[in-house]
Amino acid sequence: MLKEPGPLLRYSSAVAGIALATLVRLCLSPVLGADLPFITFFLPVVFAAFYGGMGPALLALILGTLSAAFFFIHPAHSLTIAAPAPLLGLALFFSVGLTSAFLCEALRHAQRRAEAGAQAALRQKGELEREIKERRQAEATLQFLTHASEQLASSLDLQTTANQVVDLAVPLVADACLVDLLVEETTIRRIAGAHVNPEKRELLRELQGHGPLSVSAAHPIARVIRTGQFDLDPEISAASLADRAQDAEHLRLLQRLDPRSSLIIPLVARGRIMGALSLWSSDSGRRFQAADLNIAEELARRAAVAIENARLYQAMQEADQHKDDFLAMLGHELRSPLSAAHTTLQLLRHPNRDRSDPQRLLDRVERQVHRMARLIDDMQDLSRINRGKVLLRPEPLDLVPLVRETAEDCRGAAEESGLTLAISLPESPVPMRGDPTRLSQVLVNLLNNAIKFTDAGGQLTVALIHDANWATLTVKDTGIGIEPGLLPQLFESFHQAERSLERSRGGLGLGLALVKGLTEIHGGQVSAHSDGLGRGTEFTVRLPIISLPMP
Amino acid sequence: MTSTQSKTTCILIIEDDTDVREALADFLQDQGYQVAGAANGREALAVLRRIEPPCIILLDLMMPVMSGWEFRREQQQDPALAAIPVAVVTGIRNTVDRIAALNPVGYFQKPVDLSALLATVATYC
Repeated sequence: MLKEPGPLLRYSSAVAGIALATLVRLCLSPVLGADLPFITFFLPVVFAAFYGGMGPALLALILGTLSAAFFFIHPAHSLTIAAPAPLLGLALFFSVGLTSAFLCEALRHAQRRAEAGAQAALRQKGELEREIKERRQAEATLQFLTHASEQLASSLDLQTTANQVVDLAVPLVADACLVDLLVEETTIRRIAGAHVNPEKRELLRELQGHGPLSVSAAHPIARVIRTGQFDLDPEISAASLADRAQDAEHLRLLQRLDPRSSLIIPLVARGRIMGALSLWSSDSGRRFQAADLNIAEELARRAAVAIENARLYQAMQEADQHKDDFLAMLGHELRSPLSAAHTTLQLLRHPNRDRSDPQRLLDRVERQVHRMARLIDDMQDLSRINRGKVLLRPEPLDLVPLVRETAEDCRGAAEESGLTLAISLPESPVPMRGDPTRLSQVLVNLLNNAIKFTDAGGQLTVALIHDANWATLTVKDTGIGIEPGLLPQLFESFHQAERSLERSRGGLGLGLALVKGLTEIHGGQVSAHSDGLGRGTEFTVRLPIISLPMP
Repeated sequence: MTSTQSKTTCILIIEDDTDVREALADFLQDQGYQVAGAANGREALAVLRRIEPPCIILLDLMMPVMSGWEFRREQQQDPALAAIPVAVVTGIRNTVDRIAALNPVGYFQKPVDLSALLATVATYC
């Protein structure tokens, strides 16, 4: 495409052309005389039309006419035209000039149109190419994500899934990828990592061994998990790297790993932030930017779903195991009273000697019946509580007589086990609204528990105090105590305080689960404290005594 | 299989559930046997130091303080006690190998098959 010459050039070339033509005609004067005065001016006019366009052509025409009239047409050196002959030449000159001018203008016009058309076509081609490139990229991304989904759906094992996530990201999406999960609401644990550079993989493993991160730390991963917002650091500065280090050793490791750019996306499943996916770029020179967010978030979404599925599966397996353990224990718990009843009944039916004690034997049988009935009642109660279907019969009551009577009812069992029972109650009534049967059940369960886990010679204390809003009931024993690590699970069914299944006092651990369930539906809370094994236990039940709406 | 004679050696019942233990004791005493009892493995070891070796031990497995497994280990390491035959009486279903490892002379699931128990006891007592 030739660049259109500027107006100065166009017009001055017209003038120059005429000037030159004048000179040449002057030179030809000896030969031509006054004949053909316009002869040399045709060329510059046509040239001006072609090169300069309409305007310069017309200028050349006018200047040419003037020049010819002045220099070459009789009378010389004046602009008058005497003889008729030159008029023909003039007419010819003008028609050629104008024709050229118009033709050339048309030509230029057509040229401009063609050029515009060519430019438009080029633009379109460029756009098409861009679109094709974008579509190809989108296809590649989709293929990658489809592949990712397939891979991630292939295993329900948590570690396998996490490893798959990082292996998918490296090296296609990043030079290194890390998966961190939030554990127990407060701790962040790294569960998988991958690096494109085999030499740096060992460093990553070392990094993993550097211990968990607190969710309240200044680290960008912690921030991402707290806020649910992604963190993009296109150029990681030394200060930013220092932020990610927990100590000098950690910082050295990070420096050797040398991440240059990072993108951290939260892992969110079922509306809950469960961890973070970190993408690093180091050796490849690639820098993360906003455009990378899309694929990173899509990968994170799939990863979160897969990891959550693995977690749920794991929880399900644990629940299954729990259920199996529970049922095994249930079998044991029912077989003991069955056995005692059966043996005693056989003795009653076919005694070898005269029995003087049928009553004692019958009492034992009856006791076993009650044991089994109690077990079944407890199980059904717990099941109803878990399903939210316990029927409370709330009424106004006074906790003082309720606690006294219930505790006194348990005194016999306590003394049978060689234990003393002390009861401490306030002088004035403690009125509240609740279901007396269920509240009594709470205290009975706590006392039975205390009796069961306290050896002969020990002491039990039941105490009730209150303030304006809460009544606090404590059941304290000098029994075998509870390992601090087991306190969190204490109120779940079938979690014996003594881990070893061999050495156990039997029981399904329903009592404490019932205590918790029944307390909570009264709007209260229960907690346990123990100084450790062999140091006794204290259970605290807090009940609201201002009236709260009952379910 | 009934006997009206009292035996000189006794049967030791190691069982943490009082009702189960006492019911068995009543039954066996009715059959003419002497019976001693203990509520867990540790108590049983103490009892065994005081009395003549029993003709047979009826051993529960799941007990506090010292389980049936732990008691058996202790018993087998003590030359004075190692020879006493042991029959397992349990409420938990155990795997065959776990029971075989105890090398018992009998295995009774609760509720106990009393005639089978008597047959085993008669063999050793």
